Order: sequence, then C-alpha cells, then structure tokens
Amino acid sequence: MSDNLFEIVAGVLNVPANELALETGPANLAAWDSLAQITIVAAVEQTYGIQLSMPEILSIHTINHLKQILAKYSVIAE
Amino acid sequence: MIEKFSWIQKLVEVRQCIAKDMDEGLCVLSQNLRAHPPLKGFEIELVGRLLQEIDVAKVVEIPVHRVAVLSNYTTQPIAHAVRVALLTEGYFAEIYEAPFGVYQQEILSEKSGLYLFSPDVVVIAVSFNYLQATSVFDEDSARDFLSRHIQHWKHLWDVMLSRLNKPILQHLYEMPSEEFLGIAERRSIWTISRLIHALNETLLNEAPSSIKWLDVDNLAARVGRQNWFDARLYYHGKIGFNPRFLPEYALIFASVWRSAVGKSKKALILDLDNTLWGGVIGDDGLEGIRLGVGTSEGEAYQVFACYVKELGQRGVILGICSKNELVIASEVFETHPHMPLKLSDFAVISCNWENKASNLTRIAQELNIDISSLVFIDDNPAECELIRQAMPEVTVIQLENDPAQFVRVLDNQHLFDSQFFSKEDFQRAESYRARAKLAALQVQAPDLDTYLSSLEMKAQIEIASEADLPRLAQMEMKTNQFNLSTRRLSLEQLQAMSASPDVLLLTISLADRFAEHGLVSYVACDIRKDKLVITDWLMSCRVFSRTLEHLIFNQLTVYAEENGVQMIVANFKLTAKNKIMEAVFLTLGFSYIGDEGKNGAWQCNLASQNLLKSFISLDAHI
Repeated sequence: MSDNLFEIVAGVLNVPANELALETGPANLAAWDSLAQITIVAAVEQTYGIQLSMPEILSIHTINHLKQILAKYSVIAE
Repeated sequence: MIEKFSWIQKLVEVRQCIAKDMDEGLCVLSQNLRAHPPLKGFEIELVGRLLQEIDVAKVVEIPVHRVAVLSNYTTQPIAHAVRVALLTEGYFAEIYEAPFGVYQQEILSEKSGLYLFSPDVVVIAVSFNYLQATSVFDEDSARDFLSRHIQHWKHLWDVMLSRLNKPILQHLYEMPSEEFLGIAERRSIWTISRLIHALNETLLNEAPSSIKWLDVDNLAARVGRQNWFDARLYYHGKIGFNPRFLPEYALIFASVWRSAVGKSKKALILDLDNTLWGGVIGDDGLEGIRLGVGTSEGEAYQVFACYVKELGQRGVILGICSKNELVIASEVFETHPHMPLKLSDFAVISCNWENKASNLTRIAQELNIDISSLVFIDDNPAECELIRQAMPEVTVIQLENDPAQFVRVLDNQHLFDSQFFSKEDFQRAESYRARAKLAALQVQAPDLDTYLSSLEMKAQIEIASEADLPRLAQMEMKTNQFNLSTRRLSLEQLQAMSASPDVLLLTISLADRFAEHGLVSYVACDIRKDKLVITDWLMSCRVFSRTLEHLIFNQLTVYAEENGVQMIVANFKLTAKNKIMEAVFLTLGFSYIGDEGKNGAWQCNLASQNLLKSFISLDAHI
C-alpha cells in the first residue's frame, strides 16, 4: 500500500503529512471542514474498499477515531 | 520492486508545478491525466477543487470551454468530473453551477445566471425522486403524468434553445434500485420502474437533436443500482450518486461531450500479437497462437476480435498497426478458422518494422482524418508510451495481460458512443474498405485521369428531403475539413432551411465500382435576386479529390443560369481544420473579395465561367 492513512488525509486536506497527528481533527485543523470530512470518508472507502455507516461517519472527530473504525473492518491503517 | 503509481503523491507535485507556473502546471496535469491510471472518485474531487481555484483569466495555453451545470441535486461532484474530463481532452472548463434545486427557474428566467454566463454547453443532471414524487398509479393517471412530464421538458428545452442555441447534455432518469413486489412489478404496466422506463423512451423520441443524452441509467446498471445510489450521501448532502463512480461518469460525460462538439473518435487502430490473438505469430506460427475455443485465453481473444468486428460493422474505421511481416500476419486473417476478422475488414493495414508514431501519422493521412480521431490499442507499454509522448492527441488504450478483460476495457471507455445510427454509419465501413482497394488501383493507374475514369463514379444531386436531415445534422457535427462555415447547424436549423423557399438545400450521394458511399455531401445556398450565396457546403473526407466538387458546382451554375443569376458568392469561415476550402474555391474559379484575411466573401462571375471537368456521371439531378 503506497498511501497510508496520514498521506490520504494529508492529500485530501492539502497539508503536509508531517503536520498531522493522531489527535488531529476538525477541532484543531481549519482545513478539516464538513466537506473535507465527506471527502476523507470517500477517500478511505475507495482506497480500502469498505463502506462506513452514517453513525460511524458522524463519529469521526480525529484521525485516531478513523483508525479505530477502520480496524473494525479489518483494515490496519498505518 | 516497482513503485506503485500514487495520484495522492503526484498531486503534491502538480500543485507545486501549478503554483510556480500555472499554464505549464495545467499542461503537465493534462498529460498526466492521459498517461496514468484513472483517478479514483475522491481524487477527481481533489483535482476538481484544485482546478476550481484557478483564475480562468490567467489560463492562456489551454483553450477554455464554458460549461453550465443544472441539477436537482448537488452540482459539485458533477462539476469536478466535468473539469477533469475536459482537462483530459485538453480543455480548461470554466463552470457555472446553478444554485441548488432551482434548475427550472434558471431556464425560465431570462436574466438568470445561466444566460448571463453564456455557456458553450449545458449539463442537466436530474434524477427522478420517485418515492417523493408519485404514489400508486392507475393507468390513466400514469399516462396523464407521463404526458405532463414530457410537456414540461419540451417547454424548458424550447425556452432554453430559443435563448441559447448550444448543445444540452442531459441525464436519462435512473431506474429505481428497489423493486417493491418483485415480479408483479414487471408484469404490471404502470409501476414505478415501468413509468421511468416509459419516461426515458419518450424523452429520447421527442427531444430535439440539440439534446445529447448521458445514459446514467445504463451506467447505474453496469455498476449496480444499489451501489450507484448512496442513501447516506444523499441524506447528508444531497449527493446524487456515490462519488466513487465519478471516474465512470467522467468517461460517459467526455464521450457525449465529444459527440456534441464534433470531436468524435472515428478509427480504432489495433496491434496484432497479444492483442487480437495470444502469442507472436512470427515466432509461434498459425498453430501456436492462442485464438478460439480450446483454451480459455484463446476464447477470450476470439471474443475480443468479434467485438472489434461489431464496431467495424457499426461504422468505426478499423486499422492495423503492427510490427510484423504482412505475409505472415495476413495468414491469421485469411486462414485461421477462429479469426472472425478478415483483412477486408480493415481500411488500412500497416505491418512493418518502423516506429508506430510514423505509422499512425501515415494511417491518419491515408484515411484522411484528423489524428485526434484515432484510438490506438496495444499491449506493449513501450509502444503506448511512445504514442502518448509523440502524439498526445491520439487516445491510447494500453491492454494488460488478461484477454478476458479486453472487451470491457475498451467498451468502458465509451470512445465510439453515438447518439443515433444513420444508414451511412453502416455504409461507412464498406466505403473505407473500398478506399484501401482504391489506393492499390491508384498505384497501378498510369495517370490521375485514367484512375478517376476507372472508378466509374455515379452521383445523385437532389433537393434535400425531410428524411435526409438527420444525416445532414450528423455531418454538421463530424465534418471539419471540407466545411465552408463549420457553424454546426442543428437538426431544427436544417429543418427551417429546408422549409424556406429562399434556401436551396441539395444533397449529393456517390457510388463507384467498389462501394455505395451514400449521402456524402450537401450544399445550402441563399437564393437572392441577383446572386446565389453558398452559406454551407460539407463533404465527407473519404470522397475528396474525385472531382465531385466540380460536378456539384457545375449543377449550381446551371441552376443559377436557369434562374437568371450571374453571380455565385460563398461565405468562407477559416478554422484550424478547413484550410482545404481555400484551394477548392480557387479551382472552382472564385476570387476573394472580402477584407478579413481569407475569411469572408469569395465570388465567382458566371459570365466568364466554363463548366469544370468531372469524372462523375450524373444519375439524378434537380
């Protein structure tokens, strides 16, 4: 897998991957608005071939949340 | 280990490139879009956003094309797909997105943003919200609903086309993804799925020709209707379909856009070894190649060859471009029991050891078509890369090593999709095959006159009938070279001209000893008191240089003299592709009288004009 989770989120938000941390989310990064949220979900769904539920999408507040949800779908994202 | 290509990583580079030199960056992105694996849906949205931020006033190198998007759901994903599709075609899309959900007001109000924007094309992306729009039907109320719905669209189209005579690219309605009572729904006449089916049929039948249809219903079926419609995203942000299908959507958009603006692909040029059969004919021999039932791979190659033959029968010009000995390769087509294609199915055959870019250039010349209308298909990545670099206008399909996917890889590109068939589509294949034989005859003939006489050509020149007009509208979209005005007349405009007593509208059909070419040219003249003004004159490139234009012009002069007119004027509009017209006018005896370069009026005084020599006999005339 050439794109890891941080690279995907960084690519969507157009920020350098090294500026992202597990705690990064809409609360502490202006670029992560509601539109970006949907694109991040689309990006992980299309990259890993999974589909999140509406409650799961709404519960993503940090990269760490996203990582935990992915683990439920047996995706071990770096 | 080969590093896998990543668009996410590529985009970092592209963003920097655009920040440094925008025009250069756009060109780089356009090349990358053609050269690399297709973008995923979310990547289309990312590239779309990047393009959206660019100030169109600063775009210099790449031509700008203005697209208005109207929808009853969120327009943004559609707009992004349009941006990416057009940049792949070499155009920068400047987009107007109508405010959410008000597409009808936009069309009806004269001062709406739609008309202020003055688009080159309009996209109408509408879905049918059946769960909210309808309840259970009886047959009468269903018929009533159907007819009111069609009237509603006819009114919107009339209003829009009267204010803005530009192509309209409209979505067909998607069939529902739910089936309620199963088989019972299929058996009854007026259930929701039958109603939507009837709506689509009626829309297709009754829409004016300026409406070009995007078959999103077929696309939804291909990817699975329950995948296509994503309830989560619809409730969340009124997103019309799951954006993971934006790549597929971008392909059908590009396809319909090309046919709407006269940039259709015309020819499929194929490699042979590991493309039309498995293995290398020069090494493996007739017995050794994989083709036909017996091996699973062989069967896949045979089916692909069948698919290609079907394209040929529908009017796609077929050609071969292969590094091979012609004699050895020919054997497969002439003697292999499982090869459905014959050498005579190909209009042009280029089997040699020269580089494929020179061969493709020669093929385009031989067929007399623009290189941008060529599609090249090959399994060899190096050959594909060479063509992409040397001839970026050519569409390149690179086959991977699984022949079972070949048909789908080609079909999913929608490269040859068309809005309707005409009789000439079916005749075209025959006509191009005849061209190949002609080329051989031309080599044998001692001089041009002998050659032209040996063709035994016969033409019919007639007043255009109602039934001819769809073919004329199709020619308007496809003809770039022998085209006086390139003004892309629509079917409705042609109907108006045909009905007018002040317009002479003639069609010309041609046959020779090799083929019926069908309706290959038409000419329109305004009839004035003292002169004939040729406003439009188109001719299919496959019958150039046969003195047909002489025959047609002779008929015009006869007509003019019978009506007491001494002067014929032609209004020429120079484009990048119709330079041939200048030479044609000079041979016909015209001289230039305007003052804008070669553009504008040319005139021919009939008092000093003799009939021109033509090698075509006239079977029927006005």
